[in-house]
Amino acid sequence: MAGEVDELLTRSSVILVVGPGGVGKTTLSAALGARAAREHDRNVLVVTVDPARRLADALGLAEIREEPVVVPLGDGPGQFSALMVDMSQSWDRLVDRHAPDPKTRAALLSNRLYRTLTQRFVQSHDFIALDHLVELTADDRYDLVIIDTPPSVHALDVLDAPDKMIEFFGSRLLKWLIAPYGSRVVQLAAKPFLAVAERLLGGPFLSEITEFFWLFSRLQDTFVERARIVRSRLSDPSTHYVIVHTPEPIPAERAARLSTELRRRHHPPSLRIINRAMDPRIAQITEQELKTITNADLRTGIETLIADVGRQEASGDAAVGDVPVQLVPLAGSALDDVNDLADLFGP
Amino acid sequence: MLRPLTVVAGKGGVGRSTVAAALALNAAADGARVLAVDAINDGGLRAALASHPDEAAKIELLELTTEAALDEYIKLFLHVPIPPSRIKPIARIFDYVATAAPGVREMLAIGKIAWEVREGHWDGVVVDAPATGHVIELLAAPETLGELISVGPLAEQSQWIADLLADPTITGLIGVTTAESLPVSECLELIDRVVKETNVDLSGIVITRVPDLLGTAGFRQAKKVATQKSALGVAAAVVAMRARTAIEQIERLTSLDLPLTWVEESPNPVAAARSALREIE
Repeated sequence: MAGEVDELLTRSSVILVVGPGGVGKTTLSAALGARAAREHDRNVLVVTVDPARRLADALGLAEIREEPVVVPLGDGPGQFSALMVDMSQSWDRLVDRHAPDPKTRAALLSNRLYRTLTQRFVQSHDFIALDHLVELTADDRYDLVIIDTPPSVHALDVLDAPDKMIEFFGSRLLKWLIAPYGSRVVQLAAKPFLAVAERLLGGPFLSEITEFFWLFSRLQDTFVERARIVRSRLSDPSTHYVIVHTPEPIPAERAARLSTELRRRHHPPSLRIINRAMDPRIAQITEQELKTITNADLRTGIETLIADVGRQEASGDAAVGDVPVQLVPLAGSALDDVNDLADLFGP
Repeated sequence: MLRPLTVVAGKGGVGRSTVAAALALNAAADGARVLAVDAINDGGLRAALASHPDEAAKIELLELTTEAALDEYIKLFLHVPIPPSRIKPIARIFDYVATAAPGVREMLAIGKIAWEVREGHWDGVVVDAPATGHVIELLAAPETLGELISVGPLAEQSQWIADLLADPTITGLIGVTTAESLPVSECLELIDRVVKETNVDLSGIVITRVPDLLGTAGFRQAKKVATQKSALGVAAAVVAMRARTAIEQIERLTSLDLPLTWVEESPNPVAAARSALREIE
């Protein structure tokens, strides 16, 4: 049953798992990783950006640190590690390594706004998650990196993050923001903008903001270069996109839209996983069989389920397009450890 | 459950827009003047309202963008003579700054919402709020910003907005979750953070998509039937598993000591939420 999944797990070097919120993306990312390590002897790293630490839950790990943690799994040569990206540590590291000189580094790290600003602007979550790609794909401990895409309002923001970063550094906005440090001409052009900003924010606050952006703009070369590397990784033929959704109509319809969006960005999905799918045979249960259920609550429950499965069949036809589909059955028991995860796609 | 300002919060996919729409639709059906605010602006609230077009026609829908909020803000508070043609480009650039500067975007959004509440054009304002971290930022914005900015119009506005949010006769927050383990964990985390990091009063929890529950006899028969390899056996096992999970998770939520509303799983979630919310009103 897991042919499509196994084939994907053997030929990919990067897998991005995308899908609407609440469909089990994080669990399935871990499941894909566990299976690749156990069944295909791959050295896998699963990356998640998630303040709620859901991957930790699924893996039974108390805590995942900024450094990858090896998750014990079977006796085979494959290894399974998990990394939970910590936003503020990641930024500190970037600044630490790439600041042009110690003075800029110190000024940036001690800027009062640095902490909040780096966590917020230009989808910095998404950028940091992808920036890890630059190092991880060059790290020979891993031959497969699986990225559980961060939850964001628009699920594919993460894919646009490198372009947004490049655009930000080239933008008029940045020039205007740091105009107080710039030439007379720039200062003049930025005047109306700064007037409104100052009126709204107050002078002292605005100058803190402009100072921050001026310091930050000195890391431009590094950021633009890394963003370019990420962008080319995203289009590499060994990078694959997996869409996850559940059988209910709303997630299925969102997945169809995601699929269209992926194609528009020239990243057609390689696999679609329908999580928490129900056994299609349930739709065939007869009236006769139902009558054997004497408990009214249980009978109602089964009737509801039969109707659900009927709708699942219909939603399966939603216009995700010509992509191989993998059903992951609704688990009958809890996913207690990493071996249960590896079994999700079949033993 | 509806207060002059009701903030509906919960993680993506649990039916937050459904609950927000149901509250707004019920109030509108009773003749109330309702403003429904989509603070995420992803079209979710619009879609949920569209399931009941007759009542939805009586509801004013506001889909908040920074541009719209800034535009309003400038008009309402700044009294800066900016010609309308200039606002759009300035707002677009400002969108970046607002993204960057802590609390500014949230302040513009909550400022606009609070203004609508204060002016009294509405009997109820229902906000479909962004996911956990963001909703906290939104509700704490007046304080966050108050600490960072000491002068200027934003600083002056922050006090009355903070007071309005802290007044339990005006503002209440409803947490939304399904009866599943991870969503409930996130909901508990949300409630915890609302208590610790904001002054907003909690008005209740809505549990969505509650499956059919079983009693002792139901579980006993399910266990017996589940030993069969037939489709019926599989179905019984699934029903029992869902019921058990739901019961466990609902128990976790009862520890909060807040009013709980259950919405049963339904192919028409907005209608189901409306009737469940009706019962407790």
